[in-house]
This record gives sequence, structure tokens and C-alpha cells, in this order.
Amino acid sequence: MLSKDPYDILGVSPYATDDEVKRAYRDLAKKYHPDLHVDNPLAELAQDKFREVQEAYDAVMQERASGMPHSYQSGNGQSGTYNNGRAADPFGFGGGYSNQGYQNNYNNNYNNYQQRQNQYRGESGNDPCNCCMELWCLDSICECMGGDLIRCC
Amino acid sequence: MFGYIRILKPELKVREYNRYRSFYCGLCRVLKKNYGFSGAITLTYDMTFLVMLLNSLYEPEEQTRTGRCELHPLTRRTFISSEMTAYGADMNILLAYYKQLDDWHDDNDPKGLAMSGLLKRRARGIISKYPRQAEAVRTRLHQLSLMEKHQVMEPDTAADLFGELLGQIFCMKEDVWKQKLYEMGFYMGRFIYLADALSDLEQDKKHGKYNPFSEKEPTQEEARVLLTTCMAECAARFETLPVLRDVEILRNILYAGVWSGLPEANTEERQADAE
Repeated sequence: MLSKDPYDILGVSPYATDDEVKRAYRDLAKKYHPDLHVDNPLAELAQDKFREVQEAYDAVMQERASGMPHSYQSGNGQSGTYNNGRAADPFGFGGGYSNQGYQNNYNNNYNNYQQRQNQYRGESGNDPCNCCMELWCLDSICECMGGDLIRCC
Repeated sequence: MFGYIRILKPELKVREYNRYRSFYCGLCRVLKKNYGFSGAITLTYDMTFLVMLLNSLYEPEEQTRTGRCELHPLTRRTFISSEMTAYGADMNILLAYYKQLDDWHDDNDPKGLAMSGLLKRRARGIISKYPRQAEAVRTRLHQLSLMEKHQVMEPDTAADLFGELLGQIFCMKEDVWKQKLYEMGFYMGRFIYLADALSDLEQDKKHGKYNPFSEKEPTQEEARVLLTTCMAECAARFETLPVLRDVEILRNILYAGVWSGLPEANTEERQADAE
């Protein structure tokens, strides 16, 4: 069981793309692989670290598989390619993409992911009234303590 | 049975296609070197996929050579091989050996006797080196042939058997990736078996041959859902693996190429070309 945040162990942001998570895992796994520390007095430590990295990777991928779509966000523009594959619909349903069921699941998961992202951005959302209120509160607290955040307030 | 796990060439970059081709030729070369001509003719796209998948997962050292091939003497070819190519070649032979043995025992097919005889000596070494995989191939193929013999019309059970077979082959070693690779192979095996059975259904019915769908032919929609679910599960496992090298070639195969080998897809292409 991991005591630390798996993203911290891998050294990536929770918003990192899948490819970034995989790259981070590969780099750490290469660094702490037991075969590279056979004659090293710190071999046991390396092994513990290797196991921790492995568990962190598994935890991140499991979390993403359960709630978030696997990401095509590597930015190389390939994600649209297979959606238009003409030969990808052998049973003649048209639309060109026979993985419709999988694609629908992907879309649903992606929408859930977007909603969750909005929650993380704060309860206030993008409401300007709330933003203004918060700034006024901050300015008032600042003035109580002898400062003045917003001079015109 | 094999040949569904292929690329969709028009959707690959030229660079990616050349790399895939180099792995395919590399596998053929290793088969020929280790097992002679009778080994080389067992070459499949499916094992090429496995070689590339394991290569991307473990990132071993690759050996790249250029040379000429006896079957294609006019152009120089590039051959890429690694430790995974040797494994893919061994699994190729294992599958071919047991398949030919089954053909001889079940159908008295003389070609089965001849081919299994040719491969027997080579297969013996592989069986002792990979007992887990050899046992899985032997037992599952035997169970499938029993289902055929007794005309058991349970496509799901048969697909699961083939899935278990391929699942064990996908696990090259018993390590942290064992479970994910097994599940990936399992669902891919299910897909291969079901796709093959559905493709052959019409011909099998005409010739009175065994097909698990003979009694209850699925509708187009049912068939589509069946096959899509298998590949969706397979692809889901794939995406959890830390694969970065050649990932677009592997995705081409998993998301597009597997559908291009089905006969309906080829009919569509021929019609489009005719227009």
C-alpha cells in the first residue's frame, strides 16, 4: 500500500498525459532496476524504490482506467486517424469506425473527466461576482492587518 | 486462423511501415536461421505483432542488418531483431507444430504428419525451454479439437480456450507484466477465434464442417459487438502498459488493422477500387 501520492513518487503532475506518466515510469524503473544494483550496498534500497515506482505506476494507470479515458493527448495528432478508417467497419454500419461501442465509452469517460477537472478548478467556477467578492474579502483582511491590497477599495 | 493481427498500411507513415516491415523480415530471417526453410514458412503477422509489443515493453537492444532475401532478391531489405524476435520465432514454431500434429491426429491430414515430422526435432527444444507455454498450447488445442470432434456448439467456451492459449504465449516471462500481457493475449485470442469462425461460417456450413456458430448464426450487430468487445478489452490492457516505442504502429494494428483482415472489409475495398 502506498503511503505517498503516486504522482509524487513518479515525479509528474496529476494532469500529466499518459505518455508523460509512462516516460517517467520507464526512466525511474531503468534507474532503480535490481539488475543494475547487484554489487551495490544500497541494492535493497534500490529494490524498495523499484517496487514503490511499480506500485505507483499501477495505481495511476488503474485510477485513469476506471475514471478517465486512456489519453490520446500526446499531441502528435494521431488520435483522429483511426476514427476515419474506411476499412474499419467490416459489418457495413457506415460512419467508418467499427469500435463505436468502445468510442462511446471513451466519450462518456472523457466527459466525466472534464466534469471532474472543472470541480478541481474550485467551487467558485468562473463566476465574476464570486471572484470580485473574494478579492474584496482578501483586501479587507489585508487592511485589518495593516496593509492595503487594493488601493481603490 | 492466423493473419488477422495485421497493419492497416494506408494509415501508417512510410517510416512506420518500413520499421514494421523490418521486424517482419527480421522474424523471418531468425526463423530461417534457427529452423530452416520449414521454420520460415510458419511466419505470421500475429507473431510479428507480439515481437513488436514485447520489444516496445522491454526495450531490449536491437540488431539491425541489411541484406537480400531469397524470396525478394531485387531489393535490399532491412532486418531488425532482438531477444524478443527469438522468442516470437520459438512461439511460431510451437504453434505450427502442435497445429500440424492436431491436423494429423484429428483429420488424418497427411500434410499434418509431414509438417509435424519436420518440426518435431526443432519443437522439442522449444518445449523444454518454455514448458508453461508448450503445455498451454498442447492442452488448449487438444481441448478445441475435442469440441470439434463432439460438435460442441459453444463459441464462447471455444474462444476462451484459444484466448488462454494466446494469453500464455503473450507472457514471455513471469514478471510484473505477466497479468496485463496475459489478459491482452486472452482477449486477442478470443477475437482471433471468433473472427475466424464468423468468417468461415458460410463455407463451413456449405461443406458440413464444424463451426461453433452453425446452430445459432449471430446477426451482424451481434457479431460486431462480440468482436468489438474483445478488441476493446485487449486495447484497454495495452494502454495501461508503459509502451512508448513504436506505439503508433501497435495502435494502428489494434484499432484499425485487425478489422482490415475480415472478408467484409476486403469486399468493401474491392468495390471501392472498382468504382
